[in-house]
Amino acid sequence: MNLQDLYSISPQMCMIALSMLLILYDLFVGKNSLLRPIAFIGLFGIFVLNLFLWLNIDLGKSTYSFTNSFVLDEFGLFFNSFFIVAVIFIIYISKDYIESSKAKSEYYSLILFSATGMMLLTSSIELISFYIALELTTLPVVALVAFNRNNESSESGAKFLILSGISSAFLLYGMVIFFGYTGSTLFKDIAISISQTSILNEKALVLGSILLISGFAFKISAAPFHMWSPDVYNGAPIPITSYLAIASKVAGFGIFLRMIYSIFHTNSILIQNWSDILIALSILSMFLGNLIAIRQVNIKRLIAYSSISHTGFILVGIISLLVLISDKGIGNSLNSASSVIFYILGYAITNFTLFTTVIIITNNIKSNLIEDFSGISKRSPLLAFTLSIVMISLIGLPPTVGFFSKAYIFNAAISADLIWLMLVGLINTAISAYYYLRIVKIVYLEDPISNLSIKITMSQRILIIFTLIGVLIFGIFPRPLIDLSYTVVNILV
Amino acid sequence: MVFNGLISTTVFLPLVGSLIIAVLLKKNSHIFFFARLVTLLNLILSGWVLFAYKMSESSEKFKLIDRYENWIPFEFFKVEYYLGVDGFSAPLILLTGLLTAVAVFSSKNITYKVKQYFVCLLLLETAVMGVFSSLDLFLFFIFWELELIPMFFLIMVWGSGRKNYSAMKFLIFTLISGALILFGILILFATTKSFDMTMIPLLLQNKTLLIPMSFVFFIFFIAFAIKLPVWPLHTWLPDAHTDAPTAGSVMLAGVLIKMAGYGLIRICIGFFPESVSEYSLFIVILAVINVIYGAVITMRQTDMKRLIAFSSISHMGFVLLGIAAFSGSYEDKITGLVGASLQMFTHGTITGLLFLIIGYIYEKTHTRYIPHMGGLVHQMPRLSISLTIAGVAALGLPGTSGFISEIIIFIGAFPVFNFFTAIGVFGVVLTSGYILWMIQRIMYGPQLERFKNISDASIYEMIPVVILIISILFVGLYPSFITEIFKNGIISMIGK
Repeated sequence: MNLQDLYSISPQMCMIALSMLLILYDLFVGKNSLLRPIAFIGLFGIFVLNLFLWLNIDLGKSTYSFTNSFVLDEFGLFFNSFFIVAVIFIIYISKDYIESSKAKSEYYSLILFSATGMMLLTSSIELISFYIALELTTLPVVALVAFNRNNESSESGAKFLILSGISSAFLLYGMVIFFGYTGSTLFKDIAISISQTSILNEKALVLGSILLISGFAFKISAAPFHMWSPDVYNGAPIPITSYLAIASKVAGFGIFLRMIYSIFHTNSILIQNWSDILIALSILSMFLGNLIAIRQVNIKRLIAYSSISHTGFILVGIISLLVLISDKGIGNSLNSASSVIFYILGYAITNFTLFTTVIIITNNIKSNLIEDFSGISKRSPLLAFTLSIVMISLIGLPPTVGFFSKAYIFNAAISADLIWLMLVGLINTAISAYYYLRIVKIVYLEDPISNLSIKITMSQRILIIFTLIGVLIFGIFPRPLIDLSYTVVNILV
Repeated sequence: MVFNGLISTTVFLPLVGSLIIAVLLKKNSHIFFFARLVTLLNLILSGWVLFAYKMSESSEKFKLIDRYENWIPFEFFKVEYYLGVDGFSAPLILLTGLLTAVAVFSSKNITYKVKQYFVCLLLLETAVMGVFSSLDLFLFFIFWELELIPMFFLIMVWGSGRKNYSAMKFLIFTLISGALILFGILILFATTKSFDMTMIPLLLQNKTLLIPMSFVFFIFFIAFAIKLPVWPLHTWLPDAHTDAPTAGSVMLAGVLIKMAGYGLIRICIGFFPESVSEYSLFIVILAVINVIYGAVITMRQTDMKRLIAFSSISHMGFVLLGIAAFSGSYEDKITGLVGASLQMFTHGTITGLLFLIIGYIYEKTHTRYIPHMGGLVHQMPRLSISLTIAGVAALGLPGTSGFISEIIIFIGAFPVFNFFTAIGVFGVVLTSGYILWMIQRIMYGPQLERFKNISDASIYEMIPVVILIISILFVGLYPSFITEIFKNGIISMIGK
């Protein structure tokens, strides 16, 4: 370990330091009102640091550290900034929730620990550090899910703990198989070994990759590994739900891309196997997510199922990328990879907006039932309008960012000759319109259950307008996001 | 980057207007005034577009071009901001401007959610004008989908009857049609690497697509057939028309279903001329079914609005008949397509007028059930004269625009499909049957006691009616003014 090593994971180190600081501050000083400002200032500082690293790395060059365990490149730095922004956002919207809680500093530091795990995860290129980062990501979230300490919340926590334990075990088995066959835990060594003809066709590798995919599918809640997500989304405090739906899922896709591009692209048989399995997962996720979402009466469960279906859409992009790698070589998969990143960004922006509005509404009406959203338009026009735009974006209609993400990912599918998969996606878009627009209808056209207007504080109003503008402006000028997504994946290819 | 500015202003003025209404205006009277001002300005602008097109010296196919290439400038996904008009789209833009103005001026009795109502109408205008003027396929698709949301709300919020059901049905059909279009344009893009509508016909020559060309043609054809609507995909239309508010029906019948006709000619014929010729027998059979089936069903209707809605199906059959003439000789092609595009224009004005008048009658009598009506001529002479004029125009009496468009279609289609055209002509007889019978049942006969105290349309209400009547008579008496423009557009589209 030398200074260069520390430099390359300095944002992660600072995150750890910040969460320690918050706990110690609470222990020794105990002035709870200052926790939030400290967290914000710290996170902002880390964001700037991360940006500084991003500006200072040589373009197209990766720096390896800790004996090739971690890498400093645009891909990792992009995800670092993504998670930092997500954490800032989640702490911002947790304000009402955390006010009523006793354990404030723990709440902040657990989120920070988990985010650190994610940041390490997308930068790790070695199996053991990868696994440690993964556990660092998951375990704090278990505590956060059970944070309310009531029956529902504890049950979700237990469920999440057990199921994520099982999925980690799957991942670990898969990793062990790869280690056994290749004799190395370093991604680049594994990549070289599995490309050798003697090992190319080994059935055990297929088994190993099926185990790995099961583990990933759990993290991104793709059907049929989705069972945990509706219950956990429902039982968790809603800011944590948003954390699971946005940050956790994106981290899953981040490592997915990282693994494909740094290990598995070398073995064409594995790539084909992966794409076959993922096609099944993708179609199942889209149909299952959308069809079950139609019957939901609880907004949190509806969001859970809708996010399962979005997983299916993102998988369409990943499948097209795999198909392109196996058909035309890794260089031609750049566009598909960028479509995945673009979809992730669009999904995150839309969901930020969705959760901001849903949190304000559910806090006010003290209910998670969709029917209680009736007539919100009369109680708060801004919230109703925002919710409608979000729904339009989730369906994928112009002029919102969701429209371009869907069109872009479908275009990727076509470019890989996956015409029928794209048709499945189109059918699902039409199905999803039904339940998303039902919310718009309830919000606008039904009589309100009470005439009290919903109070929105100034800071909430700013956040809503800010995110709403994001949804709309990137729906009209998507170019900056597409540019960004190209820069991010360029380093991988 | 080329920028003329006129067409962009025309397309986006209503959008800007709707934003101003949504954000700045509070009082209902201000909103009414402002919405009228915007649509009137836009009517003038759209007239100016037609005029500028006619006066333009440039020898390009498309004129008044606004183009910004670097909107999304990636090889993998290249979308341009590209607007322009040719002889085919310019009159349709004028039609949109005209009918939106009519719709806005006629909705003076709206009291529920006035602000949102006009925002929806103006958004609709931007979307439709965008569809008619986009020269980039992806932009075309964006505008195509944009139309969905305001229309959905117009039916659902301000509609009547089974409005939720109708709005949902409209939504589902339109979404399916949109999904098919997206599918088609991405397939085209995969081969041509371009969304440029002016280039795709050239790029498609001698290329094999991912899936057979005729299959892509059918994807587009079905997408537009849903919207036109073509039997058996028409079931959304009667419901949506019947339950929409008057202005919504005017827009729906007047311009929204013209987007489908526009798409059929611009995309199906423009991109896949061979497929259209190859399957023209199929198209002509659908056309005749549309004409006859639509007319026969119309005969049985007892709801005024539903009656006109079904008559639209019949009339759109004529558009399809004109398109089917594409398999004939060059002269027949031109004649058929000019007839089809003129039919779209005239149907827009005539049916818009019919819905408008029926909306007025409904406002005053509070019934649309024809057997409950009669003798209204005694109370409302102005409306009954207007309804009679609109009716005879719809059945194609010489001197009105309906006659011109139908006769041109028949002249174009007859040499190609004698038998089917002859059956199609029989549709005109049925049309006179249901139109005259409807007018007779609503307007004439003895005066009814319960309608004693209702009043005629006011002078203000008559302004849009008169404007539409003038446009119908103008095209009927001096058709070459508009057929020449259409002909220019059609010739430049299919080549010499």
